[in-house]
Amino acid sequence: MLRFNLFRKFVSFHSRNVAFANSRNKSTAVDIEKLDQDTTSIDVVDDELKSREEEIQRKRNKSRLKESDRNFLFEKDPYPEPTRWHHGTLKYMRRLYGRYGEASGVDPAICWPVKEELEEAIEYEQVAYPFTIPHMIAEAKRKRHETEESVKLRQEEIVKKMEKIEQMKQDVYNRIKNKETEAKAAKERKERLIEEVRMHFGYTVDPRDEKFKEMLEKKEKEQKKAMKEAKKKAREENIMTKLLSKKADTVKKDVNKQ
Amino acid sequence: MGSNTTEKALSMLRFLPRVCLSNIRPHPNSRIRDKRGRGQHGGDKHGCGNKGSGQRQNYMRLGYETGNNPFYLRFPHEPYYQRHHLRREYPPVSLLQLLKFIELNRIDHTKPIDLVSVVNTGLYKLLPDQRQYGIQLTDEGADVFNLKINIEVQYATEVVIAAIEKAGGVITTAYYDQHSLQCMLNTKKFFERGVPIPKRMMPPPDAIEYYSDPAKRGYLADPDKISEERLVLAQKYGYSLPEIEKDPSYDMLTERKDPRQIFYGLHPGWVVNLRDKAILKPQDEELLKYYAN
Repeated sequence: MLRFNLFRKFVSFHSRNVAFANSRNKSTAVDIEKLDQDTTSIDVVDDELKSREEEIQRKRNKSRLKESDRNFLFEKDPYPEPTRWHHGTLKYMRRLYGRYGEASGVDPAICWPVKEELEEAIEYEQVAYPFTIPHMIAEAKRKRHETEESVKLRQEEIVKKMEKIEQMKQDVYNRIKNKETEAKAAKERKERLIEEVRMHFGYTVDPRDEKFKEMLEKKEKEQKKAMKEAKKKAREENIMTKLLSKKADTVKKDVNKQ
Repeated sequence: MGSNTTEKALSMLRFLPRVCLSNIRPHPNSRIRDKRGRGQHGGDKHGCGNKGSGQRQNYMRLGYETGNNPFYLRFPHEPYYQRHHLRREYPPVSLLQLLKFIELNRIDHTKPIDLVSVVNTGLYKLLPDQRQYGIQLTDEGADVFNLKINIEVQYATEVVIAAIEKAGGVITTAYYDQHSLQCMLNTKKFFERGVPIPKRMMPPPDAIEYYSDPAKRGYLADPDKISEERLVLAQKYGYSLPEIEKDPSYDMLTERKDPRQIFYGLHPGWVVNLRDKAILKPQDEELLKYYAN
């Protein structure tokens, strides 16, 4: 508290002095400025003074800290004299420059990549980023278009197939129906034959009897023959109709030509 | 009489040792008595039953389902998190948050805003090692946003872009690679490293389309197309496009970074020293060529 009061008094005294000086020597204001400049330009290079100052500073240091730790606290280079092997590495020296600037005594030229580092960096970039931007954009666009195209084609395919779906359903139903009718017809035929054979025998014979079976076979054969003849007839009729129609066409053509 | 007891108490205090962990009683019911299996309290067969694999401790392996295909072997492939370690993340900042930052003087809106400004508020954390690549601006607060700002983010939707342009501002989407992000997150630490500012690398192939799209205001897109898209967006969202050319802060609003630039006003290859408050630029031809590439 006392120290603070003294400090305030000192400051006020100093300011008053300056003001007084200014008010008194207004005409010679320039002289005072010159004097100030002169006093600042003169550098007192007194080795003794310096060494005394250093001694005083050393005695003031009652912290019992290591030199490096104390320097670190005061934001100075902790090891002005390099002591360990890593104090000579590029990374450490660059950090020294980054943290302490010119005061670190490091040549700032080492901050930039050395020849080997530059070569490595260039090689890395060429491998990691081999394409140019327009090339990459074109590639991306092309890929996108490809996927879109394939999706579109697939959709169109599906649409086409969907159009046929009703027809396919109908086909399936028809097939089932045909099968059913055929099976029914075959069953009916067999029943009729059995009836015929039964009629032939006169009494109810077990269809599994041998005699019955023989008769059944005979009758089946006869039936097959009849069916074949019927088919043949149908085919002949078809051919006849075709021939007739052809003749009619040719006659018509001749008539037209004429 | 009272003084007698107090005297006694004080003499006790003087005599007894200091209170420490070894001479105080534990909290009631904090220590459970160990129940040894003896007699009716878990004795005789000790919970293992009679004969069988249970008592003989010959158990089947864990997960075995007595011969049928066990559950832990039924599914040979579960690709739920396929490529999850390669997907990029963009931690969000809403327009409302941004507005709050600016109104509470955490961000200066008279200068261009980018990732560095938002991170320097101390309220937004980005972790590049967790595949986080930057800011995503969300549309919460789009209806109340009314500030003219020049902002650069890493992802923004159409609504957000419209909100900012309606207020008379400019928004750009830009990509920063991991290395550049680390430089931006703690700029003081980066400059103390004493290395030159690196080049910003190009986006990966699956992001290049986004950043070259004028509709997303990508930094690699054609500026003419961007101005076209501004008009389109204005028509879509039904606001009149403010004329930035006539704005007094036109220079600030149109300030954009070069695709290789990380910080505003600083070029790749420069060494910034905070202690001396100096910027050092390289002179070597090869270095210049490398950084200008």
